[in-house]
Amino acid sequence: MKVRFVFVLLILALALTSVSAMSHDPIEDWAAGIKEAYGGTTITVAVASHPSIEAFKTMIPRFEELTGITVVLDEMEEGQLGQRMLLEVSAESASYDAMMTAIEWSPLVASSGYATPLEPWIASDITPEWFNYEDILQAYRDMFLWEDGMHYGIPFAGETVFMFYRQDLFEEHGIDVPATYDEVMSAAQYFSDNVDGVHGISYRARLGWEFTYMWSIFLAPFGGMMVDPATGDVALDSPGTVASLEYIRDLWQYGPVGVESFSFPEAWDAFMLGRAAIMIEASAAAPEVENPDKSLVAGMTGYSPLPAGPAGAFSGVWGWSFAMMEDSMQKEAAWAFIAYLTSEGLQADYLANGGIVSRASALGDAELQAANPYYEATLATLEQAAALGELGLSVVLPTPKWSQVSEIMGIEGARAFIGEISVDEAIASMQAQVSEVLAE
Amino acid sequence: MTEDRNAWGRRPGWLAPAVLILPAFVVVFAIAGYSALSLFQLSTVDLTFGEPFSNAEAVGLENYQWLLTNQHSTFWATLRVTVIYLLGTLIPELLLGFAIALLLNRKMRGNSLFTAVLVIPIVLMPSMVGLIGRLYFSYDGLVNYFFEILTGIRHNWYGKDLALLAVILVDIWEWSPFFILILLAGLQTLPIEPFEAARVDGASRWQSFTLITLPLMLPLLLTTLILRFMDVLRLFDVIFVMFAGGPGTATTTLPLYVYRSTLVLRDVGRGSAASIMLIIIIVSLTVILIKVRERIKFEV
Repeated sequence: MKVRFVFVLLILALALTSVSAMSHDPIEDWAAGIKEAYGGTTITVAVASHPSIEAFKTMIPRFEELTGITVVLDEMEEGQLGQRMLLEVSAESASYDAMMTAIEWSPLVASSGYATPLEPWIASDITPEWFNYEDILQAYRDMFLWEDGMHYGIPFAGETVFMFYRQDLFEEHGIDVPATYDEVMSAAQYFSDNVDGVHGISYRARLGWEFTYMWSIFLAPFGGMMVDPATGDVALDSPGTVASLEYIRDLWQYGPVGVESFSFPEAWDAFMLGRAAIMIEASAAAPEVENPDKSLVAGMTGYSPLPAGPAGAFSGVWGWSFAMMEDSMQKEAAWAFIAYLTSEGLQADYLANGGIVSRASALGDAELQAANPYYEATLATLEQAAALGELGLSVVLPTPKWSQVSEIMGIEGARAFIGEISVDEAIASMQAQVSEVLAE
Repeated sequence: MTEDRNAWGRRPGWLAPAVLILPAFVVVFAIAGYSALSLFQLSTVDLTFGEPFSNAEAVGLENYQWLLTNQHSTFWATLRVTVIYLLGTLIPELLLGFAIALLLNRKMRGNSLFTAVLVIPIVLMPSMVGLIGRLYFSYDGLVNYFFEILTGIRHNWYGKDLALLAVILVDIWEWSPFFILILLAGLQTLPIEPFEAARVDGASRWQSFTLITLPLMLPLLLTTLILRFMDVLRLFDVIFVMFAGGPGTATTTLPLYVYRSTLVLRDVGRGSAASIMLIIIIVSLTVILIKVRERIKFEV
């Protein structure tokens, strides 16, 4: 009897083992095919230092193990990567197989032929079923859409700008969450004047592209614009543009000391250390704000879509993607790398390691929404970004010359911001310089 | 053999050194001269960085004219910042470096250790120095911590009034040791006899310093100054990491201006023109300093 019982147990154990051996992990199955075809290949990928890359770094060893593809990451600071990209484009070289590209650079890599259109690759056999391109939010996908109707990047770190506020302070002082920019100014003034060690508002304002990034959010709510969508003419001298620059200049007095030189890490730090009651910043800051190891205000922060100005409430989208280089000799392996890391199938790993949400499935997931209180504000702000798009406007001009336009606005605007020149002088100067650049 | 030697000996005296120097001269001229000529050529065209040179349009000296006279150009503001930065770093570094070198030239315990520690700021990566400077000069940073203890006041080093001073102070911290090390080496090679003779004649320490040490050290002081001067005018990393030239144009020196014009605004012509002007300034002031040094050396 005993022997029979043991025998039955053995049979059961064998059966269970066979069943588990027959059940397949779709990721491993896909990877086995890739390994057979492209194992042993080495790809070089240029990336910027960014939280999303830190998340990818934890995922790459498994990709290498599963596919046999070796990944060499050439990591550098964001500005340096931009210059590297410019040099690569101008030298028509092929040092990289894939590159992390920002929305600002996409028109250049697309129009120059440096990057390859990705539609054929998305439809290729290499793309796994669990990649699910359509799940990436359309607002983010279309950041990398060029005039030829093709996409030149797979977004993995979509970004919008919303308002962070200290729930505890607002409740304690009985102040409503600002719904208009006038209320933002009043609330910022109140906290600066009445709460020791707390300033009204934090944001980035460092000379150059960071100033433009911040200012571009304030343009449309005040009726301003960079280029008139109806005529295509540079419209930096429009009354709304002037009003928006005057507004952020006035808001400066309620910022932390030294805000005029703040890059985004300092703007985030000021808020995370509890030194600012409000922050208008990139959604990418939210995971950091909610991280109790880094932030003193984790769990005390509320998130709200951007307030309305006289012309309405608008936000914008920015973000990072992986582009694949046209001259790469390892396109298949590079695409396998991109598809794997940015896929829906690996999304949970990516987000758990500090990645930045870019997919509808994650933003709509009730469990994730409960764990990430900023998801709701992200969705609301994406609608504000869509509203901006409906006006024919955007926070980044879709032109290969955006870096020049952004820099001119960022220099002249920053000079007016600190009073080195008047707002009128800054506006006149940028109108003339941007017109010259775009006319070339 | 004898005939050969005689034949060589009949040639002019400058020929042998000239022949020996020629290969090095050709290499240096080919690299530096060609680069300078190419840069000048780029300064006379209208070209967007990233586009092939075939797209370049000749514009003569228009880029120079724009930099010097256009109302939107910040070249003059940049030059002003560069001059303040140059004087603000070189003079204190020279004085501080010489003073500390004089102190270290005495026999004291721990001299060698102190000298070794001095090297640390010089060997740090410039971008790290910039990052350290950015953190130390933040409103809650170490510099304000000491200021508050000593004076009860914290300053906004990130603001337009003090940002340039913050960058200057970081440069002084980083590069004064360069003066110290070179000048200390110079002091240690000075002959003892003149000092002993002066002591026998009853000269005071001050007289020994002004009448013997200073004149003997002047050529080396100027040489060190020239080396550092050329370096200061090329400095980029520290200022870029600390303030990126801001706030406004408060810390935009000529190298930052060249970088911004060429690589960010992608205006190759104007960037090259600014670069040529920077080279002219460096070369002409270096020549003046070398002439001064030669004259002093001769007089000494």
